[in-house]
Parts: sequence; C-alpha cells; structure tokens
Amino acid sequence: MRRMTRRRFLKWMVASSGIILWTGACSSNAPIQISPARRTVPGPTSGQAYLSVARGEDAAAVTRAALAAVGGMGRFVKAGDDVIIKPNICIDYHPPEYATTTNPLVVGTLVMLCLEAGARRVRVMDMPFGGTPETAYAVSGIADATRAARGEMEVMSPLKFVIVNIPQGRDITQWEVYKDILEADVLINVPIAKHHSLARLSLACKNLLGVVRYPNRMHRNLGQRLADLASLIKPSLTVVDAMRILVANGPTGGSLNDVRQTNMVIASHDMVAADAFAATLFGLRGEDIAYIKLSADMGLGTLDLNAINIEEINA
Amino acid sequence: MHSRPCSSAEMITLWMVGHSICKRATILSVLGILLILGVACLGSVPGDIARFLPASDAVPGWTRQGDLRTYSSDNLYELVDGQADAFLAYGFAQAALGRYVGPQGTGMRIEIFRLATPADAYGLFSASIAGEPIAIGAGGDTDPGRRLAFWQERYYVRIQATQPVANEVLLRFGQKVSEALPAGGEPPDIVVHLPSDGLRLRSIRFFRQEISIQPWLWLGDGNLLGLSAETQGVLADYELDGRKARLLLVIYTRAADAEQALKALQYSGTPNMVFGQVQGERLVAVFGDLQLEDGKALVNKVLR
Repeated sequence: MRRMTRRRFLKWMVASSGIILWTGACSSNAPIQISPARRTVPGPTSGQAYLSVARGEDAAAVTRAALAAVGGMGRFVKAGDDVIIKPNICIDYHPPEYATTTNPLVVGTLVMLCLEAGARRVRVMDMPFGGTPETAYAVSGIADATRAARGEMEVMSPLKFVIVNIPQGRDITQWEVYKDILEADVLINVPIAKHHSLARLSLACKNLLGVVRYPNRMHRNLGQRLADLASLIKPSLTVVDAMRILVANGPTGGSLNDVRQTNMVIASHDMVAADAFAATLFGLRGEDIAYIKLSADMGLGTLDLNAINIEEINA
Repeated sequence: MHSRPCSSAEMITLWMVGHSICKRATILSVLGILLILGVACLGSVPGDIARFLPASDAVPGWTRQGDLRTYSSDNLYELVDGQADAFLAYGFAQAALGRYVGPQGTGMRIEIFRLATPADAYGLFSASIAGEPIAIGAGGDTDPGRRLAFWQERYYVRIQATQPVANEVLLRFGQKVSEALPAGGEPPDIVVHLPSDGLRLRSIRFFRQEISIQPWLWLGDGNLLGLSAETQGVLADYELDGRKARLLLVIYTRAADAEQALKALQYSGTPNMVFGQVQGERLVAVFGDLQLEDGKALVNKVLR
C-alpha cells in the first residue's frame, strides 16, 4: 500500500472537491434559451394621451377613466390575445388598506376591460416572497376581484422559469425569467406606488422583480439591474395604482399611519414616464430614483414630464 | 446480525485505515474534513431564537399555526424582502417567525429579530416608529388593535394582527415575548448628546449606515458620509420658534473621517443644509428652515 504523503493528501482533497462540485453542477437542468415575444404597442395617436392621471374615490371608475384617456384597452388588447396582468402581491399578511399590495378593484377592472376588448384569457400572477401564493392572493383581495371579473389567478410554477439573454443589459446579460411573461401577447404591469428601503420607491420597473428567479440577487446594483430587466420585459401597458400609497417603512409597511389616500391611477404605454410621474407623489423626480433614470438613459422611455401629453381627469 | 449504519465520518475513517495510511496523514485528513465541515457550517446559527415565540394558548384562545421558521442573513429577504438591507445595516443575526390563529380565524404574526447589539435593536426600532408610544420592553410603538413593535436587549419584535383585535390581545402577546427575552436595553450613549430644547423625542433615529436614514435625509446612492459598522449616528427633528430643523450627529473612529465627511456634505449640494461643523471625531450638521445663527447655536449645543 502506498504511503499517504502530505502532497498525496492535498491531491486527494482537491480531487474530492472537484468531484463534489462537478456532481452539483450536473444535477441542475440545462438552460433553455428563448427569445421574448415582440410586443408592439402603437404610440398614442391624436386624441390619446401619452400618459393619463385619473382621480376619484371609486377605484374602478378611476381605472376606467385612466384607460379611456390613453385610448381605451382596445389600443393594447386585440381579439384573441393572451393577457397577463402583473400586480404587486408581495406578502400574504396585509389586507389592501396597508398599501403593500395592488388595489384589487384596479386589478379586477383591468381584467374586465381586457375581456371586453376581446382577450382570449386574462391571467393574474405574482410571486410573493413570504407565505404561499394562494394565501397572498386571497389576503390581497386580488383573487376574489379577478375571479369576479372572470379572470384566472395563476400560481407561478418554478418549472416555468427559463434563462434568457438580455441583449441590452449593461450589468446583467442573462437571467431566469418566467416564460409566460415573456411569451404573452399583452403584459400589463400594475404596481402599487410605495416606499422601498433600498430602491427608495417601488413602482412599475421595480415590480418586474416579481417575474424573475432569485430576485434578491438583483439587489446588488439594483438600479442598473432593474433597468436591464426592463429592457427585456417590455410591458404593453403600465397602470400605477396610487389609490393609496405607502410613504415609509416599505416595501412591507405595517402601519396605517404610513399610508396616504391619494385616489389616483396613472396609465401609459411608457413605463418610465409612468414611474416618473408616480415619483412626484412622494415629492421626488424620476431622476431621483436610480432605476427610472437608468431606464431613461437606456432609451426605454422618457422622464421628461414636460415633453409629453399628460391628461388629468376627475372620475 | 444487524450492524448500525456507518456515519460518513466513520466510513472515511475506515477507508483510510483500510489503506494503511500513516498516523500523521490520518490526523491531517481528519483535520481537513473538520475544517471543511466547519466552513460549511459557518453562518448557520442554531434556531434558538424561536424559543422566544409564545406557545399555543400562551394567550388563551390563540393557537400556533404551522412550523416556526427561522432566518439567517442568507435568507432574510424571504421574510422582509426589500427591507433586508435595512436590517443588515443594524447587524442582523437571526430572526424567527410564528403565526397564530385566534377567535373567528383572526391571524397574528410575530417576528423576532436578533441584532448585533442593544444599540442596533434600538436603532432598528427607532427607524421604524410609525404609531403611538407604548410601555413595553425597552420601548414600544403601536397602532392600537393592529400592530405592536418593541425592542428589548438586542432584540426587535414586530407583532401584527391580520384583522383588528382588542388591543389587550396584542399587548398580551407582546408581554409573553418580552418575558421570554433577555431583560434590559439602554439607548446608545450618542443619544444623550442631543439638546433637549425643541427635540421631538419620537423622531430620534440611531443609525450606523446611510440606508437607515435615507427616507429622512437623502444623500445619494453612494456612501457620502463614509459610514461603516463602526460609526454611530443619530438623526433627530427639532421645532424651534415654529421653525423645523433636522439634526445629524455622527461619531467616527477617526477625526480625519469626520473632516472628510463634512467636506463631502458641503460639496454635495444637499438641499436645506444650514450649517455643519466638526469637532474631533464628531460631525454635526443641521438641515431645515432655521436661520444660520440658529443653526450654529443648535450645533454648538451638541458640541459643547
């Protein structure tokens, strides 16, 4: 038998480590490469606002008014379209009045408008970080509102995430994204406007974190990574729920004293512009939020609110 | 005859013995394996924090639901998502979550966070004050019937009802947790430097890193003040003769860092900065709508 020298021992250790690492690497599934659907949304024509801001106490009426001002849902949804609505349903323990999750009446109304416009099906989904999706969907009130409007709540399956390239990405050039989000004919992004400890504000672009794997890993260089993600996942329509906004201790909140009733819904095909306007509700400008500014820098939209046609309506 | 299964360590040892390995190599190998196991276990703190959570029926009529969960810095985001960095800035070590169900199916959620020091627990508590003061632990904050938060020793506790409940229920849950936690907790010494005239007590926020004060004093995405886990800072609001002011005090470990931070602050163009001064390791700055002389006077009260 050969004597175990120090050198042989070290070789044995290195070889063992290599085998362990190799085995681990082989146990994961090979990535599937797909290209996201090319969602084209015509720009506003005359008579259609670039961005609309509707105000009022009835969330359903306010949502309808905001959509009407940007040309109606028919501008975004065609007959037979497969539509996904992405609200913010981040937690499973605060009801809607805490302004941590999107207003259910806003979501329900959008489902209804999509079906009225001829959508083949309308699915609503998010990936809560705590608790189960079923509980989060129920507590948020969005499950009931969606079903009442004849939409479908979908629990996002871990098997449906695929690795995709991000051609315009400046920091991340690949990430795992929910396949259906990429392939849907129409994606409607419906964040609630709220404070966020790290990003300052959680708005539409930030809401996209709910459709990727390992969202916590996006927190490093968050601003650029969100902008990179926005260059890949281009929602057809952004509707910012600002019926209630959370002004502190976000994104999870917990105190009604941090909630302001602002009774507003913002709509635009331009996610950057919608976010820039929503930022003003917190006394900030689009430039003050890294991901909004960086998204604008990448040509994904405008944050110059003076250069666009904004229609403000009282519903 | 049945023999008990060998553990991995035993199998490795037998394999080595079977190969007539010299004693020295065996010792080296065992040490190597122990080293690997030790490194792998680093960061996985035992889930002992969960023992502070009340048992079923500790508050009559309320039963614990599901498994208790504990969190480390590796998966804290699963509990608090985007707030994780704000917690890590206070030396977050471990957390536990318990869920309870009471009469009429009302839910109660209790989170206990262990921070690096009592000062950090005070800091995290002070940065999340949103309601009314309440006497529990070393200091409490509540939205009656809905939410109760407090700090005690190096622990920060959040209790949240899913639907409004009698305030007594929240308080009883809080008292159960408070009784289980180590006693004590004094605010950090830096707080005593704050002049009392015009001070809004509930606005005092102790911090170590900028993320903790960004909602009240935005200084950009970088670390303008050069803060670190070793620095101590406090931010507080004042109302003096009807004028509002926000006072920043940071104590660095080196005087040069304080000087550099003041320069960075002065060149940053931070809005509403009235006056700033350094004395030794201490940096003091005042923001708001005070006159320059009033700002200087407030700074001098801190430094004298």
